[in-house]
Amino acid sequence: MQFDIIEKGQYTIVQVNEGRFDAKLAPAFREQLERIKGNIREQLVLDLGQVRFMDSSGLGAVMGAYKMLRNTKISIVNPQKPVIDLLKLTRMDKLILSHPTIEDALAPTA
Amino acid sequence: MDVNTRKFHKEYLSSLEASREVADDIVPYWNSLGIDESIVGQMELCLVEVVNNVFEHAYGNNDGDKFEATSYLTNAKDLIVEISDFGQSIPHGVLEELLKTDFIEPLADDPETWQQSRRGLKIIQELSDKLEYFSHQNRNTLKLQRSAS
Repeated sequence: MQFDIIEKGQYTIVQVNEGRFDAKLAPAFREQLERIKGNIREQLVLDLGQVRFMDSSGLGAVMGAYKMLRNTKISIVNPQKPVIDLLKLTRMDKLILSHPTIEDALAPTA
Repeated sequence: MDVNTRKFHKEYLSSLEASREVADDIVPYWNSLGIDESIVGQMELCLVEVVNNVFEHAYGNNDGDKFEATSYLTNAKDLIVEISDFGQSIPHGVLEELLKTDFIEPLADDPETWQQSRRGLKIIQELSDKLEYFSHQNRNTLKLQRSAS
């Protein structure tokens, strides 16, 4: 399974079970979100803990999710250093916040 | 430019997953040269962006068109990566324009800034020390240089 979907209270967690979030994976991610978009709860949490490599196509897919789910808060959890660095480099970190753990993302103050 | 090491050179066919194939080949080569892990990671990202650019723009998302990857370390410890294709060249002025622009910061209240694409070449430029592009007899080469010392 490339993705696991976990429902938890007002949160929907999408866990990406791939090491590379790139041009190859991005279309499948988009299709997955299209399939579940009607059932996504108040906040979407993207668990990227297993992603050791992300490129601009992966970033584009995350931005696509942001555009598609305009009234849903989106955050990233468990990002590895290359993902954190890419978010910072491209300034995406200003729009989509990252948290070290799912618990941090789910905390009321997150 | 003097070459310090054996050269990596291989031909590939364009596809959506070609960037994974090239990275799987070149990253172990860079590791064998003892290049710092953080530099390898950044250059892997550059490499993937270039190969995706070849597939998407030079070959219009067409599978099976030939491109070549070359890499080596110079005596001055500069890591060189060259990707050559035989398709549509990057329009004149695009790379020059890159130098003048910055990443657009996405703002929550401005959907115009929510870009889903067009970050690839800028990422390459930011992570490389030098970027050159030349076309000769239908062969287009993007050459990246990054200090490995």
